[in-house]
Amino acid sequence: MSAYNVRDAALLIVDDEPTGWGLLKEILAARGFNRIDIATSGQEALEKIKQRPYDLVLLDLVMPDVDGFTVCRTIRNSLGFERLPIIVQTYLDKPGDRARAFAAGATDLVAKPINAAELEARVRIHLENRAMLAELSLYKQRLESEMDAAQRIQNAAVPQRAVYEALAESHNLHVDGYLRASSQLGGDSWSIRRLDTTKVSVYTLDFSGHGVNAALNAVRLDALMSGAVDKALDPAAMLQYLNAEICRVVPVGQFATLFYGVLDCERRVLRYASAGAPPVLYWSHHSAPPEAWEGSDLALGLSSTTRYTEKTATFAPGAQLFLYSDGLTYPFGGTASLNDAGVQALLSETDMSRAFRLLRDRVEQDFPQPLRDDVTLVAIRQGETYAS
Amino acid sequence: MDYTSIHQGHSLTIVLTGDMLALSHETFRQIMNEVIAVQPTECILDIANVSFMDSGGLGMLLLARDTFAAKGIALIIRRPTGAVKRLLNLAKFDQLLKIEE
Repeated sequence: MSAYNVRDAALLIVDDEPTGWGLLKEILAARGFNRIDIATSGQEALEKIKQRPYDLVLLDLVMPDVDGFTVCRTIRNSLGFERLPIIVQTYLDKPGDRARAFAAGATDLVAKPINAAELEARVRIHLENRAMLAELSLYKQRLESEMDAAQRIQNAAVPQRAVYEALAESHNLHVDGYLRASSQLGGDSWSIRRLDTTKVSVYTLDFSGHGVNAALNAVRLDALMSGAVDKALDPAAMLQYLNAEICRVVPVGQFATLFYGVLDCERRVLRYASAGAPPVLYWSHHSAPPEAWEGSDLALGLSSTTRYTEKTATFAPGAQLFLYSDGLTYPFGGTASLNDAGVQALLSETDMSRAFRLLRDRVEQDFPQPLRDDVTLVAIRQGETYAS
Repeated sequence: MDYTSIHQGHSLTIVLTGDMLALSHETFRQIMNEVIAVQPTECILDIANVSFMDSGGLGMLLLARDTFAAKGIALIIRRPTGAVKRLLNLAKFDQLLKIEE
């Protein structure tokens, strides 16, 4: 990007007296300013400003009809001109005018009689400020829109309704998933994938920390898992592999929690392994009370020597699984805050699908917005009529 | 997150108060620099008054452990309570850090 040249700025000099505007134009033109317009009345100034975007206005206060104060106030009250630099020319012996000029919205003053060096310095400094502000606000806008886009990508990168419908059809699995990325971006992700006609893998992951870094690391884990086709059926081997990869590439202090399960609908078995994941709720049948699975091995990326262990549970028709990320139990204070015990109590008292909706609504409506951390909820139920 | 430090012989105790979050990163880095400047043989991180820790907070503990180890400073986490204790146990951090009641 080339440096901004203040001499290319569009200036408007407003003065009813030819000697007045003539002098200003002469001084500035001699210093290389090449886009100078003149308005010889307040009325003309307001019309010109409406027609063309000026970078700075040099304004005389004393003019017949519409005076400088009125021009100043009118510009300030017009949408889009709140920040247009207005430099007012005043006589040093009129302190009242100076205060009134600032009250009317002037950015700065130049004293009459005009001193060429002072005039140039003031014009230059306000143009440079304006350029810097514009650049900064552009940068901020770009950053915000990129963060928004990243948040949308994170929200959309998880399985959508079509996947649920396909799994209901092919495996008689009824799935509900919800992921809300926090504005700062967290490291949550989850997925459910069809492995073959009878098996499905499911995982929830949370990369530590916040921001683009955590989100990118979560994407990296997603990609590693998709690529590790040979380990898809073996939860412990999958975690072992991911841990080695994360230990290799991610700096100390960053890690990921992961629950990885393989549902075998034909054999009616769930095999799973957990790397530091929050408690998982399991119902052997939806009419039975849920169990909270709290045991887990170390999170991924903490120690290259961790051995991950596989556990199994029956997953017969009617069995259920509920997974959530720690964003759900983030203690922001206030009555909407939940802890693990609260989540478990709700799921013990309420049908899982209904509890899923209640929790989702609570995150959407009662959690402080923007969210402090990503929230992921996944509910899976094996349909009653799965026939092998 | 706030902290006070108590220097006794070869031991430096840092008493932390408040939540240990990913957002507390700057303060924590400051603490680490302070510890390294003092060069104790052990640094005791008293977290009895830390009511909550997120994954970023856990990460900071690991970072401190490694950074201190490189300088010959042993890190001891002292008196985790409530949700923090539960988190350290659940995440099996007792395998990675020296934790004292």
